[in-house]
Amino acid sequence: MTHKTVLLVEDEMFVALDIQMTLEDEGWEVLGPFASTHEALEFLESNTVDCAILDVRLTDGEVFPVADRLTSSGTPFVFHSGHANPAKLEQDYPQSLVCQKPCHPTALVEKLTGFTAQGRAA
Amino acid sequence: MTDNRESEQSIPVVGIGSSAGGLEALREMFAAAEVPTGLAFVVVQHLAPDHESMLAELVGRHTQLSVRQCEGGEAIEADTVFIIPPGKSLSIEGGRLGLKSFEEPRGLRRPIDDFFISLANDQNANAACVILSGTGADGSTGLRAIKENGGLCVVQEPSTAKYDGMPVAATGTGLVDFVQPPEQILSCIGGFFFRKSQGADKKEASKVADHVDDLCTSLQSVVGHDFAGYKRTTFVRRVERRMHVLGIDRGADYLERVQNDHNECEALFRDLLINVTRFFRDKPSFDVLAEQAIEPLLREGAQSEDGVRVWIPGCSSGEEAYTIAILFAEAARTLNLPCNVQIFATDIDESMLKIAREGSYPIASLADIPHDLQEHYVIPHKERFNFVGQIRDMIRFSGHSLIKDPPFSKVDLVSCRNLLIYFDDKLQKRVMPLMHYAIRPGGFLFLGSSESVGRFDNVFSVIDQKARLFERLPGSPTYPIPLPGERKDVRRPQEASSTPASSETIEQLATARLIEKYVPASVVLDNDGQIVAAYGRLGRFFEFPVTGINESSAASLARPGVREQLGPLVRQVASVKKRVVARGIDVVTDFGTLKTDIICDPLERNSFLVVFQEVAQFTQLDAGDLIDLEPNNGHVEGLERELRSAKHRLRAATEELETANEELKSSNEEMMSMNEELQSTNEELTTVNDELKTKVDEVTVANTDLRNFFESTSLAVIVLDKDRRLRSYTKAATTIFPLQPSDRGRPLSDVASRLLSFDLTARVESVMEDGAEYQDMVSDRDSERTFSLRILPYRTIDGTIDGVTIVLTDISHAISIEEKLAAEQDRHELAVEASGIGVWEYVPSKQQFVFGGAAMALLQTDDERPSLDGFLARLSEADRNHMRSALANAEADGHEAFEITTRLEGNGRFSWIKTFGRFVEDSDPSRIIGVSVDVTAENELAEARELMLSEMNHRVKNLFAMIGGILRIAARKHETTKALVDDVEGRVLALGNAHTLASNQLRSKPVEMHELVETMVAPHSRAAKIEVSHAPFPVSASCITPLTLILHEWATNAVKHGVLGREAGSLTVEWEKTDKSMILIWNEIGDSDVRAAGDAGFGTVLLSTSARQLGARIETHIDGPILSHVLIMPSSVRHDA
Repeated sequence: MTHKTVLLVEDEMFVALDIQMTLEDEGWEVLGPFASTHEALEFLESNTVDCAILDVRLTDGEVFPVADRLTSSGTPFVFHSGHANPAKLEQDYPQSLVCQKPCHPTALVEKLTGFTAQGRAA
Repeated sequence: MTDNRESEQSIPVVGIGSSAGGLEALREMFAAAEVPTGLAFVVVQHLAPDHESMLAELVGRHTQLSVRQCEGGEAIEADTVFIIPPGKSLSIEGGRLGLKSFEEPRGLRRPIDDFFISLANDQNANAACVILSGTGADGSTGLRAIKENGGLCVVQEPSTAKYDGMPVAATGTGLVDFVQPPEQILSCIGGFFFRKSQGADKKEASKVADHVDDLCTSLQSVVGHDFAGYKRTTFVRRVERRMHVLGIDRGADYLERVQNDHNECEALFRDLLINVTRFFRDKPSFDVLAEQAIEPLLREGAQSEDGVRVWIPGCSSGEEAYTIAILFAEAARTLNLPCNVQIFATDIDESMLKIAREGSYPIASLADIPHDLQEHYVIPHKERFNFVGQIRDMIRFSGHSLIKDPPFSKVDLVSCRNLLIYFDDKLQKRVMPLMHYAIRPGGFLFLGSSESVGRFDNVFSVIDQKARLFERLPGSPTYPIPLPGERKDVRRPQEASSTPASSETIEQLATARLIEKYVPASVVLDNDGQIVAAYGRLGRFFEFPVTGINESSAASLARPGVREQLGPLVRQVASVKKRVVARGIDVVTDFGTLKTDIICDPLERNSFLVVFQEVAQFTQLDAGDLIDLEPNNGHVEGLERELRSAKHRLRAATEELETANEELKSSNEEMMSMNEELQSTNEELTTVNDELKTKVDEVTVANTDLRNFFESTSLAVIVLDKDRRLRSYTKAATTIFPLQPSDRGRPLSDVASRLLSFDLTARVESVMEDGAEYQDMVSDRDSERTFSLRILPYRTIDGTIDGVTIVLTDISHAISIEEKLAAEQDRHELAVEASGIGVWEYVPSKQQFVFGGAAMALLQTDDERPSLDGFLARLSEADRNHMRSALANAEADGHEAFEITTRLEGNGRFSWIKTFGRFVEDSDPSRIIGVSVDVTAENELAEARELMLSEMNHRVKNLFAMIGGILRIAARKHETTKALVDDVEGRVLALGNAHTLASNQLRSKPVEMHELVETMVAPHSRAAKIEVSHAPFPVSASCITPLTLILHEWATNAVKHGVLGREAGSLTVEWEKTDKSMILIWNEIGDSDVRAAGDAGFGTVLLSTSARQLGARIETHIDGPILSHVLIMPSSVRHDA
């Protein structure tokens, strides 16, 4: 079984670390975490991922350029946000999922697993 | 028409009308009477009805005529004066006098008119009337009746009358034959009737008849009217009357007079035209006319535009025309129809038309007009009355001859009363077709009671025979109408009168010469034997030269011989009225005797011509004769002289008696008249007294009202007269001026006033000078009260200024309220100003705002009265409609207050304005009133708070997420829950402390690094010497959590292993700023060497993760007992970076 890659964009390092550890426990290869849009975009310049977890508010602003980039490359992702309006996010990015912060990292993992299952099915 | 003969044989009756001043005139008139007069007299004097009359007595003393007070029923007698008794009306019928009570009330009675009319009807041409002194116009109407019936009219010369009202009124009718002083009147009348009887004897009538045609020609040439068609008998009678008036016996002479004398021509013309007319003459006929003709005509006339046309030919002085006009107006009034009636009243006599046009009639005639009609159409004045404008406007009076001028046409009604009777058959036959032509088919003809349409009954049908009302049958006139065309040249009278002047002069000269040189000596004597005229050489027959009329007695001047003969001669002649001769009279002169025939020839007017014809030569007187003759002649002469002197004495005595009597009578009369005057004065005074009493009552009431007003009013009023003296004042005035009742009449300047230094006197002066009202405010001297002072000119009814009225009103209360109001207003304004509230009002009907307070500043405008759109333009675009609808709703809802917050963009910044408004309906015009407040600060604060809340929310969520993460990470490193909790618990608490520090509500500045450090090391500070730098290092809020974790980790380690725990030593924490980073140095200096901490446990993960969070790196150096942690952070950690 090949490792699935997941892009983690999260400026709160303890949260990122927790998610990273949980994902790695599940056998995911975590790329990141990136605390800023700038860093995430720079990474995506030369890499691809299977899926992504995106915090909305980052140190250098909101994460939407990254989300756009992922949408254009057809990469599924989950918004992990504490303040954003989930309905609006789902409307703007129909292929995305939203997890209200704080949530248990396993919930995130389940959603990502869903993506891969879908991708397999597809 | 009366037969001439019949009247000639009876005694002429003279009716005499008199009133005030009449007694004197009557006395003078009757005193001149010479018996026999052959006349009967009836005196109608205005008498007081309640007093017995002494008039008969008073008059009787002065005259030879017998004077009686009338008792009613007696036949008239010659040379008798009948006097009306008081309170009765007198009439005459069949030569008998009748008495009856007055029907009219006092004041409307006119006994003179009544009697004259009955006299005229009874005696016709045998009547004469005399109008003497009196006021009013009684007699004028009766006079007309007398004249119309051929009688004679004489009026007292107005200048001799005590009261000339009646004579002047009578003269004004233009019908008077003679105007004479009283003493001449009787001889004048006597002469008239004498001539009349003479004329009748001599069949002068037939002679006149011979000249009728010539007279008509003369009349037509002079006055322009043809009387040829007039009834011959009437014409002749009228001409005879003129002749009698003038004393002309022969028709030919009169013809000559008429031809040469324009005035006489006019007089004859006027006499010919006289006819009686009065208002509503024959009232029953007019009733028929109103019912049968006037009402139908009005009803027809109401439907056509032309109206009703009425023609009244021969209208004379207009009574008939006014009567018909009144009937039309009255019918229109009762039927409620328009009165569109034109009445053409025509006559040929301009002087009558003038009277008619004036339309002013003596008040006496008023009685002819029914009472109910008087009310509507008559305007009475003192002595005359006239008609309302409506009546006068209906009638056109114009000069027009029925015979000569073309007739009117399409006339609805012709009223031609008592005109045809003057026309002869031929002329009547000419006139009737004219009438037929003039009247439209179906129109009416109204004739006088003795007239008829004659043989023209085929074109006029009778409607009412008694009233002589006819209807014109349809069909146009088929016979030739002899419209008057040819006219004889009118010869102007001036040409005629000039030529005979010179021949007359020659004739006169010849006569004079004859009398002077060739006539036998002759004298004319009057009844009394006085010499009236003398001709020829009289020296032989009279004792001194008789120069002419010196009113001396002929008998006393005549020479002996003549003297004895004159008296008997004259008396005989007077009785036989024939010539008498005394033949062969010896006239004794100074030088001898002369045999003479004395012929006495009666002349007219009771004068006698005495002619002396010498029949023998003059016989010289010789001396012897003197002695013989004297006794013989002396005896007779002595007797005669005695007789004469006795007669003279008798006469003197009589005269004296008469004079005394007269004086007594006149005194009596004066007393009577004075009594009358006094009575009337008394009556007048009583009236005046009554009026005054009423006025006094009124004045008393007004005075009482005024006094009550003065006592009760709170107005201080002072009235000054024109000398600035106090006239009256109200009680309220005494509170300001120390006035006493005794001050009335004192000058105002004397009365001390409490008014503070106010020059009232000067003001009063100026108001009286220019008449303009003065107004001011003055204070009471003790300054407690304020008065409004008004000084008004006191004007009398005619507008002159007769003083001033000073009015003081206490306005202290009003002033204090005004002041309070002003203070209140000031406070209010201050409050508004201080609060920065904008006040505004908006008038929806004008769509206009009025700003007050800080409204202009709030809305950032200079316009104090912006329009609705101008106001809305100040608001941000999004809010304009809100405001517009809020205003509209406020007006629609009525009482609902509204509140709206709007944004304003201006001067590069947003501001928020909160506006409260409410519709006020009561005001006029209704408006919305509101206030606006700047709520920018509040709004900004709320926004900031909201921002902070969401930040806190985020931070707390992050914190929970982080703690969750830390817990899970820790869980991986610890085997037991106890170890996990121990490990995590301290860190969570530290985070809590840091959060407390950062989230303190009171904090306005960011957290300083030294605070954070001190918070972390504080629980351990007793163990070691701790130095913390105080260099400023404000920490960015997002960095507090990782910094807290790092510092807590370091401090925990120091407690476990280093200087904060067992080991003694010191801790130094300091920081410095470099180009790109902040460097924090944690220096522990212990007393033993530091052991390197080997395991990469949970603490290490925390440190590295936190450093990563900060973007920092941690370097740890161990140098013997010194342990240094160096945290190199990006300068973004600083809050102020």
